[in-house]
Amino acid sequence: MKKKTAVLLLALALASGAVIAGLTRLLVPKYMGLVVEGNFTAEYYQETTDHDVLILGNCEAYENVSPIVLWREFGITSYIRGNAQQLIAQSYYLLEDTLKYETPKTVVFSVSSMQQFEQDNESYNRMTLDGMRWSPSKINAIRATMMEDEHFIEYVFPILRFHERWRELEPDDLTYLFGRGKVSHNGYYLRADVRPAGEFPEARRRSDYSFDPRAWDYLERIRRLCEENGITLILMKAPALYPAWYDEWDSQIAAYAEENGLRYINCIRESDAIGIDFSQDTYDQGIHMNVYGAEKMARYLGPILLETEGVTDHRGDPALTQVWEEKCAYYDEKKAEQEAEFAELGYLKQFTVQ
Amino acid sequence: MSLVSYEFAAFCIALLVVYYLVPGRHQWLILLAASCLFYACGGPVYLLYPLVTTVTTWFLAGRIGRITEKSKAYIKEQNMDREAKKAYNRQIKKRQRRLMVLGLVFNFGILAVLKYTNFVLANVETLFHMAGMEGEMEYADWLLPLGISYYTFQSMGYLIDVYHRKYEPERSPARLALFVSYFPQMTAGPISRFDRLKEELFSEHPFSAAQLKLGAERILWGYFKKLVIADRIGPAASVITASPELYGGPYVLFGMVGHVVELYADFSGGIDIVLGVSQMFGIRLPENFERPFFSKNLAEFWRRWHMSLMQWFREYIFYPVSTSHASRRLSGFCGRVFGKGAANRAPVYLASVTVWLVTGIWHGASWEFVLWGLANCAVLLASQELSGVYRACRKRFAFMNRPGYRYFEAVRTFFVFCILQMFAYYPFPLVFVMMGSMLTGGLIGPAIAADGAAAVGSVAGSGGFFGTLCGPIGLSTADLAVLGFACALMLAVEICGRSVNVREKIGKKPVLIQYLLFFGLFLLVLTTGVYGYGYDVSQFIYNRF
Repeated sequence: MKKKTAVLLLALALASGAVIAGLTRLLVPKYMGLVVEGNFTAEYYQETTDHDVLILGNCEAYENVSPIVLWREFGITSYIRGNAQQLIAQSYYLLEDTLKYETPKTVVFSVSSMQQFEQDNESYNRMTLDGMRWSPSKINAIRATMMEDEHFIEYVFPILRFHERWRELEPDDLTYLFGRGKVSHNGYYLRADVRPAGEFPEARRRSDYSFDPRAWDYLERIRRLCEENGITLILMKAPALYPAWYDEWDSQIAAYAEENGLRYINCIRESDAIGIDFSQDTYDQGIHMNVYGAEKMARYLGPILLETEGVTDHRGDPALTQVWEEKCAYYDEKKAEQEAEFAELGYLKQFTVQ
Repeated sequence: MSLVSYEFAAFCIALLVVYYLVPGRHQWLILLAASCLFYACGGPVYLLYPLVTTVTTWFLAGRIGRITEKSKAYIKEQNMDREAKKAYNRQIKKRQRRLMVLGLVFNFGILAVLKYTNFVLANVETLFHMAGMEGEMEYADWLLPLGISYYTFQSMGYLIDVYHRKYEPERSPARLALFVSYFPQMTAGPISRFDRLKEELFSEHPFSAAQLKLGAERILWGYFKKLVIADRIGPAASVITASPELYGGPYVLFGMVGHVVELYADFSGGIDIVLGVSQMFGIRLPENFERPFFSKNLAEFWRRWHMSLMQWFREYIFYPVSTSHASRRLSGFCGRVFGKGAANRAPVYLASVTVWLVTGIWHGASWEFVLWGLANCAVLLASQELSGVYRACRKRFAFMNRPGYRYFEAVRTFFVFCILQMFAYYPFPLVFVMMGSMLTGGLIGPAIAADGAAAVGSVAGSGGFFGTLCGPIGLSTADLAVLGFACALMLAVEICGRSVNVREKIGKKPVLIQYLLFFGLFLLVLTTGVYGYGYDVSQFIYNRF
């Protein structure tokens, strides 16, 4: 009798776990509509081949360089591990996480995240961290960047965070219950719409231009981690017109790069050399590049990356070529779809609040 | 550490493991350490308050006990006659009373200073302003230690009982410290008596899966009431009562009923959690509620609501005041002036007014609460005076003896309590204005009508008739559906609880049925509870005391 009860209790416990897991799947956001960035982190784990170049950072990383053009024109294999408002600490732990799977030859780190060390919107933390596989890196990333009101356990059991979403469930929640489509192109967020650069408020003077010491600490940790793994680190500031990238910030990063023998590329200064036309190459008035700007950025960075040790043209590798051909085809298809839609409507339905 | 926090859950789980691993004779020490840790979570300084109360109570009760022992030995030794014994005892009692009063003044003094200083300062400031004097008072910025009222009342009850020789004083300060600071009841009571609680606290409790299960079930039910009902309806009701100029008519009714539903679900939910946690340790605490909304009148209601506090007031305020010298003198005076009836009533009136003044001020340091207490007192005394009329009516009208009338009485008591609660959150004259508005007022105030659409839009999922109505107060149609279902479930369980113990009845069902019921409830709390990121870890209403 006791054995029977024990078996029943075990079965019930398993059933409970299954029900809670199912509910969790249903209730967590799917990020397949207006906001797709929440899928970027997890998509990395679907990769089947290694990458020579890893681009790390916030939106200035995942919106401004096209890995497909880096492959197609230079044979460079690259991946972007970037997320919306990805903090520098999260970039560090994502690098640590990446090193468990591969060791890239070069890491390009977008330095704009130096300006903000603490998260101001919990959604960004969730989008960056929920997709990470469980490891000490993820645990440390959560601990380092959690906001005051967040709880670690809500990352372990996301249902505790998203339990109230039952009231706003959409057809997408059922469509993508058991799997989501690919939304990025090796971490790149493709946008083929155009919104010429507009007027931005004048950059406000600040009383203090120094970066948070903790941001410096993480930059140093990124540098050391790269050094320990024989990776070349390149610091990059994307060509964004807003928010302001102050000269004072620029000179501090430049000094750090010089001090540590790193290459620092400020793409704002290099805009002309890159060939950026802010009337055509941005989809949000100059804050981020669209696909045309990102492709120009890739063409600019390609030769620089090829100069770094270990980064080579892999187009002669049939296995890699096969994988990348598929990526290119998917990229071309999506780009063409967006271009056609933009030409017809003047906007992209998926990314426009109706 | 809030009862509604992941930290509390982790704390209890870790504690349960340790508690059942150590030998039974040391279990109480684990509870004492846990209580200290629980208290120190708010800051080590907060440990100081219960520590001071424990030390003073232990010392004074010990002194009182030793005097009793010595006096007994002395009387025995001296072989006194009756008169000498009486005189000696009077002398001893006087010494002991001095010690007891010292303890009461000191500990209630701490409570009063911490809780009522700002209330006094605000009144002094008002008086100064009325006298034409300008200037602002500097208010105290003290944080009230968690459960200070509960442990002060509990320990002072112990001191008084030792004085009255109801039981021997506790020799061990550590044991008394556990009685004073036992962590589950620090948050919302109940207020226990030492002679009853000590058996539970200090005896050995072998591991019992049944107790663990029953405790967990009760905790779950408490969270259901707190998170699904109280924390959903409470903010909406507060929106209404905080803006009486905006919300009229049915909104006032919703606010009034909503506040009481919140109060009950919050407080009784908190008590369920406390009793459930305690039961998991094998310790049974006294019940604090007995389905109060099924009371036939307000007096019965107050016997079934926050029972341990009302019992404390009855035992340590009502009876002493009604039998005091002052009371006897007042009775004599009333007898001479108004007759025998008044002489009999005077002590009861005096004690009732005292109890309700204290009850009012205990619930909140404001004149609203003082008036709330006195309003309760007035209704209770009036219904006592009219008891003869009720009895005559019952004899005259047969329908008053039918079961249906019993339900009418329960509903009536509920609304009487609802109306009395209005004194606690509306300023005095406004209570009557809002009562009028409830009966005759328009649906909505003009200010809300103007930007109602925007407010409605701010609530996810609002829409439709109910959504449009409740959007401005932060409730969507889905919230209303959840509230309706949850309140119906709570009511159904309360109704069933009148004749049977619901948990025991469920416990007799097959394991699968039990599992489905409680797992269903768990999922309900998990998905519809108001908690998680963005949730203000609002303390339980009764944590503030």
